[in-house]
Amino acid sequence: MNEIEFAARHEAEWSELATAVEKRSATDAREVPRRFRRAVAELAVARDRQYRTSLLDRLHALVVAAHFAVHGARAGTRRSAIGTLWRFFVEEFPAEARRQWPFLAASAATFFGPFLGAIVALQFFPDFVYYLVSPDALANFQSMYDPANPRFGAGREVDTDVMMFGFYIANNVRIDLQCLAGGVFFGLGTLAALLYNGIFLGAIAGHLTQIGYGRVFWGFVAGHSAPELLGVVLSGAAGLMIGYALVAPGRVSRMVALRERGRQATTLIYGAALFTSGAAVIEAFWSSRASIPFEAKLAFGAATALLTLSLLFLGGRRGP
Amino acid sequence: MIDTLKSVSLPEGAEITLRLAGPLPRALAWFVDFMLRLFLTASLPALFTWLGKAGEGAYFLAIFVMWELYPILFEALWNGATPGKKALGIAVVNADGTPLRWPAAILRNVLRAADMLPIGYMVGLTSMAMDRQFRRLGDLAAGTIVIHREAATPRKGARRGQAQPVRPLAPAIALTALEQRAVLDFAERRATWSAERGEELAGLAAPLVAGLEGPAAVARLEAVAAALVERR
Repeated sequence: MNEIEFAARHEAEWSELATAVEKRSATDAREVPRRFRRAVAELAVARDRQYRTSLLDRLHALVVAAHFAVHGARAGTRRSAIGTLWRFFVEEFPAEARRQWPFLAASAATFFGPFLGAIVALQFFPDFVYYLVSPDALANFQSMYDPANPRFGAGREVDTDVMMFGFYIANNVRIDLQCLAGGVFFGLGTLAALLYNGIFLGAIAGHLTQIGYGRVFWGFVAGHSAPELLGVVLSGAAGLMIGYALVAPGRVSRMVALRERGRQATTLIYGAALFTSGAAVIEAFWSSRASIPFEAKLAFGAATALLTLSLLFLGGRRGP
Repeated sequence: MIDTLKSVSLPEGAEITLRLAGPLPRALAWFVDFMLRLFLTASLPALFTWLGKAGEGAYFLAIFVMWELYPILFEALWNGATPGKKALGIAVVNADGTPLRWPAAILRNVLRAADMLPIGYMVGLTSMAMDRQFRRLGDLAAGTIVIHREAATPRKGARRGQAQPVRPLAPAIALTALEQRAVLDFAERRATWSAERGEELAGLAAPLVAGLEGPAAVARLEAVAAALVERR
């Protein structure tokens, strides 16, 4: 068989496969892998026999396209999307997060250390806050949580809640992203973002408590603080994992270590995304309600904190 | 040395060559995406104003989806290409040549925030300049590469063989595989050059076109190519 005969004999088959992988409908889907393997064999034959470059190029393009079509196909899952998400959230995520506990601990310490430190320090040295936060920002926060402020009155409408939900999502994800992406600078960016946010939030919380706005402030943040701060800590941990792979890759190259750690870090990123968006829902639709009594808000906050922590420490212990 | 080709061995036994996309097509794809998103973002308020304050929230949310989730969703669900990448004919794939999935799509786009620093993707560009496969930091961490996609069906108007049949003439000397390939390529691409250029190139194959010059040399080489095509 010479080259012309070879091309003529397989022409119909090739164009059929090409249509099948480009349109994804023409042929029976179960036929495609078989035809793909045949095209692979024909490419090998054509290469070995030194056929025309244009023929080789064409076969090669066909094989590449079919490869992506065959290996990109998604098998139908037996479990529903909700079921998969639920299983991930209560089993796979907590187990993976605990496996990475050193990073979680380091991230939490970097964030909560300055956070709590600033709160405590400001109770004894109130003026210290002016070293940490600009007077403008401080005045802004002060007016936001002023007990006399009607903004958190009962009059707030549902549509305002929706607006704030959008705002909180956008804002909190930005902080999470800073913590994450900072990891590629040997983890320094992550540490800086965690430290900065810890000090800043701690200074605000400490200052508002010290001047007597504590009831409004803590009532507002109680409900969503646990999932939101866990989201930050998880992002920070994922960033630190990426940074650690670059600082101490172990017995593999930095490139390989980065890819390895990056894959593990994605689980924490999923978790951070879920907690952050959950926190934004609570923040927009529950926390801002002034009609709910302070005690109820604290109780709700304690409940979410308990739920979050027990999920993190107890979830997925049974094994699959 | 810069090599924009990356060979990947398939489990099916073939070796395929992926053509890596450099900074320019990727920047252009980004620009197309940027303009598209800018247009959509700018036209959103008109859509949401009648919703009042809730519309404002929907707007924030839409902005977030548009600027943070857009590349993730498209790359994970649409064969590794955002509309801009599709327009430029490029796509993101895993380094082993398999199609992109959620974890890699998320990781490479989350780390985009680092690549964009300090301004205009300077970090990403530096990383691409230092890497053999033009990977930015997000690509390095996610283990992905950006490649040119080719269509499975040959383009219309692609070059064909000779217009009129040529009488085959067996080469006077034995040709190595590489020389055979060169002669075949010459015959295939002959139509894309000027006559003078074709004659000049034909003259280089001295042992095959011994004594001939100009159009005669070209005809001789085409005859040899015809013989090579018909060989068993």
